[in-house]
Amino acid sequence: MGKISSFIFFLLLFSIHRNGCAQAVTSGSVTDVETSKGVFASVVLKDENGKILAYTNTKNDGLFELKSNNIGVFYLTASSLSYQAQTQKITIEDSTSQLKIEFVLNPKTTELKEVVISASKPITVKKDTIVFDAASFLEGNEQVIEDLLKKIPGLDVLQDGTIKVGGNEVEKVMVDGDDFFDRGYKMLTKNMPVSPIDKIEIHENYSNNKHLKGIENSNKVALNLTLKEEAKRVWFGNVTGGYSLISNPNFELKSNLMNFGSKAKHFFLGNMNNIGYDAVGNINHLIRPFRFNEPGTIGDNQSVNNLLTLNHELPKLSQKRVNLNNSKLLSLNSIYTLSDKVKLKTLGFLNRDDFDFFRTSTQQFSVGNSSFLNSEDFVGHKSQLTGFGKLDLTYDISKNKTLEYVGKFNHTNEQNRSDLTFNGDLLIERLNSNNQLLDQKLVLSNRFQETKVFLLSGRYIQEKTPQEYAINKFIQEDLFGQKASNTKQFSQNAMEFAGVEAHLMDKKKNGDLFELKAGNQLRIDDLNTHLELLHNADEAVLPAGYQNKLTYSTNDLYASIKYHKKLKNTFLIAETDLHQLLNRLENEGSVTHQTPFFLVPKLGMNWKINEKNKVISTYSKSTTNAGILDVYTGFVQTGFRSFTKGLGEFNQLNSSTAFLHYTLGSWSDKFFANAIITHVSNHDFLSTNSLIAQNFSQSEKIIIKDREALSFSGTIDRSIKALKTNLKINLGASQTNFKNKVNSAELREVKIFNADYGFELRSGFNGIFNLNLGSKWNFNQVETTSKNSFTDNMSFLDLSFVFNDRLNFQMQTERYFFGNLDKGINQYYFLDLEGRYVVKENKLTLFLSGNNLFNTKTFRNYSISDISISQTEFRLMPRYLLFKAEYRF
Amino acid sequence: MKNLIFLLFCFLIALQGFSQSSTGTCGQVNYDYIIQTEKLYQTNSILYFNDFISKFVFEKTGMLHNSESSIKSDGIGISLSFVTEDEQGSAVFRNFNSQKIIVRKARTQKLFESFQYDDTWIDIDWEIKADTTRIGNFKCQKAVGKFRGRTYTAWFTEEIPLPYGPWKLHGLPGLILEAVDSEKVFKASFQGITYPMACEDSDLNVPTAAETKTLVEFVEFMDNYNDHVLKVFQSRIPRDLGVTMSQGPKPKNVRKYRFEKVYEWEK
Repeated sequence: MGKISSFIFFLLLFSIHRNGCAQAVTSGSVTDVETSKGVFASVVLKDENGKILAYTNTKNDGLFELKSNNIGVFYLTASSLSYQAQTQKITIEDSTSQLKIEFVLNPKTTELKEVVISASKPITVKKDTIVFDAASFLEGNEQVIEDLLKKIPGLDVLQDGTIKVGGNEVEKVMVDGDDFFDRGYKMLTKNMPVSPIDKIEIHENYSNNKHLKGIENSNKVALNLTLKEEAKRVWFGNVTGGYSLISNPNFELKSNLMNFGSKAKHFFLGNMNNIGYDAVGNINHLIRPFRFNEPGTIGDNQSVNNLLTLNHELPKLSQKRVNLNNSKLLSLNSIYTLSDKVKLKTLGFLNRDDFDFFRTSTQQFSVGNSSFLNSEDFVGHKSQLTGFGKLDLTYDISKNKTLEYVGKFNHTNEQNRSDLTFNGDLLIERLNSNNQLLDQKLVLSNRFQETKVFLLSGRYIQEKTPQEYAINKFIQEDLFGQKASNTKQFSQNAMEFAGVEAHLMDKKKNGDLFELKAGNQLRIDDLNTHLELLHNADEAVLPAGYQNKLTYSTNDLYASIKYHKKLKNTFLIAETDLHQLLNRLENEGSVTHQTPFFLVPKLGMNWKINEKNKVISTYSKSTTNAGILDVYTGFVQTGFRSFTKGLGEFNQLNSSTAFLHYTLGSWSDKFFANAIITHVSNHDFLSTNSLIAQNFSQSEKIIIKDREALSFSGTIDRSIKALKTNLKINLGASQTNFKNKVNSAELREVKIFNADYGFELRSGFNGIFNLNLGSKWNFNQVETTSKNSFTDNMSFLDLSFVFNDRLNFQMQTERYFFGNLDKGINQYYFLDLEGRYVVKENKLTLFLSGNNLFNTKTFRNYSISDISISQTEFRLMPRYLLFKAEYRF
Repeated sequence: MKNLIFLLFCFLIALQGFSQSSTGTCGQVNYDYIIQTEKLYQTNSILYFNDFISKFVFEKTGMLHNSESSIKSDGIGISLSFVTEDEQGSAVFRNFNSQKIIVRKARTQKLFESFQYDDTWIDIDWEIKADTTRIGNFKCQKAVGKFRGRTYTAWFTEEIPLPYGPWKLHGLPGLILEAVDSEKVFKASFQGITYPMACEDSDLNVPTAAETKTLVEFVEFMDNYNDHVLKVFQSRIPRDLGVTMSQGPKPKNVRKYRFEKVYEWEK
C-alpha cells in the first residue's frame, strides 16, 4: 500500500509543480447523512467578511478539492438545494497546507416560488398588439422605415416594399395613430427616415373601425409608428432623377417631402416620367381602398359605366414595354388633430397623363356563309386630367361611439383622338369623356356592450359620365338605309345612389359570431344617348332606334343573417340574404314596375385535414338584378363600327358557384401541389343576338338558359436537390359553353377551351450567379359550326449577378412565339438589363436600366373568337438606357 | 486492506454517480431571453433542473413567440416568415455528473430540420466581484467571465446553491439569475423560479433531433447561415420576384451578433 501512497503523493507533487506555485489545498467530501452517498453541492471558501475566495462543485462522488493562496482563518460552506447548508471554520496555516474536511448534510425541504416582473423590454406583447422599441433594433445603417422594419422579427418586407405579417399584407401604416395612405403605405415606409421613430406597434386582428375590435373575425394587421417628442415637426424627403441619352429622351423625376407634428402631419409627393411607370397605380389604392365584406362599406360597389371607349387594348406584356406615356403627378396630404375628439384628414391629387397608341390589325370574319376581311391602322392619343380630393372627419362622441364623415370628389377629363385607317378609308375619331363623382358617407359606430356592436351607415353618391363622340365619315349606309357625311353621339349615364344600413354583430363566448344586417339601397340611373347622322354639318337626322332616354330605379330592401362557427380544424360560415326589390323603369313616357323577392344562400368551409392537406370550399347561389345597361332599348354606338342595346325589360339572373381549393404539402416542402376547381352554372344568362357585316356589328342582349363554365388550375413544385434547383410545373384548363345568335341564324352553341401548361426551373447556386428559365404554352380553341385553334409559346431566361452588397446586375430575356402567325413575324425577342450601384448607403444610389435592348419595335398578337380570327400589331416602347440617381435628405 | 476497501468503495460510488436522480427533486427557472440573430428576438425560456442535470429550453412549442411561421405563395408573390420551434425546443442540456453537454436547435419550420451537437465542456473562469444587487428577493453577487469571445457579467445568488445558468453559462456557486455580455447582445433575465416541482412536469430528457452535427459542422452552418437559407429559397421563387431577388447585405463579420465569436481551436 505504501507504494501506492507514494505514487499518489508523487503525482500530487508533480501536479503542484506543474501549476508553478504552491497553493493550499482543501479537499474532502460532501455526503448525505442518511445514505452516506455523495451530494452534488457547491463548496465555497469565504473570509470572515463573507468575501468569496474560492469555490467549486463536488464531483460525481461528492468529493471536492479547493485551492487557495490565502492564509488564515476561513469559513468553508457546503450547500445544496435539498440539504441544510453547513459551514466549517478552517485554518490554513501556510501555502502547503493540506486540509481534509468532511461534510455530512441533513436533508432539508426547500421551497422556492418567486416571480419577478421586469421593466423596459425591447418587445412587449399585449393582447393583439406587439410593441417594438425602435432603439433596440437599430444597428446604425438604417435610413428609412422599411430598413428598420426589415429587422423586426415576424415582419417581412418584400422587394417591392409590400409589408407582410404572417403572410397577410398590412392594412395600413399609421404615424402616431393617424393613417394617411391607407393601402398606399409604401410611400411612407420607403421615404420616411427612422430617426423620429420611438416605437413600432403591430396591431394584430386589426379592425379598420376601432369599435369592431375583438368582435369581427379579423385577420387584418396594421402597423403604427410612434414618434419621439423631439423629432416632430421636421421636414424631410428624397429626390430621384433619371435621364436617357439614347434615342428619344426618356426621363423620370420623383420627390417626396414630409413633416409630422402632433397637431398636423403633412406628406407631399410629385412624379414625372415617360418610361411607362404608373405612379397613380399606387394612389388608386388610396382613392378606392377595396374593402370587401366589411361592415360600414355600403355603396363601395356602386359606380357608373362608360358606354364608349376607343379601343385602347394593349398586348399582355409588362407595362414598361407597352405603356407609351408621359405622366405628371402632384399629391398633397395632411392630417389635422383639431381636438381630442375631432380629427380632419385632407387628401388631394392632380394628375395629368398622356398616352400614345399605335396598332395595326387584320380581322378575318366568317359567319355562316359570309366571310370578309377588315383591316385597321390605328394611331391614337389620349390625354387625361384627374383632380381628386378627399375629406375625412372623425368625431368621437364618447368612448364607445364614433361618427365618421368621408367626402370624396373626383373630376376626370379624358380627350381622345385617333386617326384610323379602316379598309383604306381614313376615319378621324374624337371622344371627349368626363367623370364627375361626389361621394359622401356617414358611419355611426356604437359598441353598446363589450361583445356587441351596432353600426349605422349612410351613403350618398352622385356620379355621371358625359361623353361626346364624333367620326368624320359615315360608313354604315347599309345599316341605316340612308346617306350621311359624318356622325356624332352624345351619351351620359348619371347615377344617384342612396343607402342606409344597420349592422349588428354579436360575438359569442365560444368564439362564434352572429351577424344581422338590414338596409335599404336606392339607385337611380338616367341614361341619355343621341346618335346624329349629319349632312354637311348642319342637317342632322336622329335615326329611330338609336336614341335612349330612360330612368331606371332599383330599390333593394334587404336583410342578411350570417353565422361563423368555429370547430377544431374546421371553420364554417353559413349565410342567407333576403332581398325585396322594387324596379321601376320609365322609358319614353311609359312606366313599368317589378317587385321580385329572392333569397340567396351561401355556405363555406375551411378544413385543415392535417398539416399536409388543406381544403377550402364554398358553395353559393346568386341572383343578379338587371342594371341600367341591361334594360335600355335603343342602340348605342360603342365603337366606330359597333352598336349595342339592352334587353328592354327587367330580369334577375340566377347562378350558382362551387369552388374547391386543395393544397398538398407546403410551399417549402420538396413536393408541393395546389389545385383549384371552379364550376359556375348560370341558370339563365345574357347572351347576344348580333348582326355582323363588314362595316358594322350590331348586337342586342338576349336571355338564354344554362351556361356552364368549368375551370381547373394546378401547380406542382418539385425541388431537385442534386442540381440545387426547383422545378415548377403549371397546368391550367378552362372550358366554357354558351349559346348566341349571329346574323339571324338559329341559336348556336359556342365552346371555348383554353389550356396552358409550362415549367420553370430556378437555380439556388451559392455564388454570384443564378439563373431562372422557363417556358409556357397556351392552347386556345373555339368551336362553333367550325373549329379554330392555335398554340402560342413564351420562354424566358433570366440571369442574375450579385457581385457584392453595392453592385449587382440583372438580365432578362424573353422569346414569344405565335403558332399561327407567318414565319418571320411569329417570333419576338426582348432583352432588359438592370444595374444598381450604392455610392453611399442610404444617401446616394446610382441605377442603370436598359429596356428593350434588341430594340424590338413591334409586337404581333394572334387571337380567335366565335366570329373572327385577328392579328394585331402593336408599337412598343423603344430601346432606352436610363441613368438614374437617388438622393435622400 | 482497509484502504483498499475504501478505494473500492469510492470507486463504486463513482460508478454509481449521484444517486439522488431517482429521488427526483426537480425545479425550473424562467428567464426572459434575447436571441440575437439577424434580427433581435425575445423569447421566454425555462431552465429545468434536478440535482445534477440542467436543461435550458427555449423555442419550444407553446412558449411565447412573436409571430407565426408562414410561407405563402399565390404564384405572383410570396411572403416568408420563419419560426424556429418544435415540441422539444432548442436546448442546452448539461449533465454535471458525466460532464456532458448537448446542444439542440429546434426545427426552423419549413427551412431546416432540428439538429443537435455534443459541445465541449468548458469551465468558465469567473471572477467574483464585490458588487451585489437584489433580483426579486434574492441577494445577488456579480461575477465576470469570458466564454468563446464574449465577456459576460452574471448575477448569481448563493441562496440557490446550484451551478446552473441560462444558455451555456454555468459554474458559479449559485444560480445565475441575470447575465448580459459587454456588447449587450446576450441578455437573460430572471423571471421566476419554482422548486420543487413534479418531475413529470419538467423536462430533463436527453435531447434527440433529426440530425446530428459535430461542433465544427455547427460552426460552419452558422457562419454560412444566410447561404444555407438562400439555397433553400432561391430555387423556388416565382419569376417576377426572383429577378430582383438578391441576398441581403452580408454582414462583414458574420459572428457579430452571435453569442459565440471565437472557438477553442481558433485561438
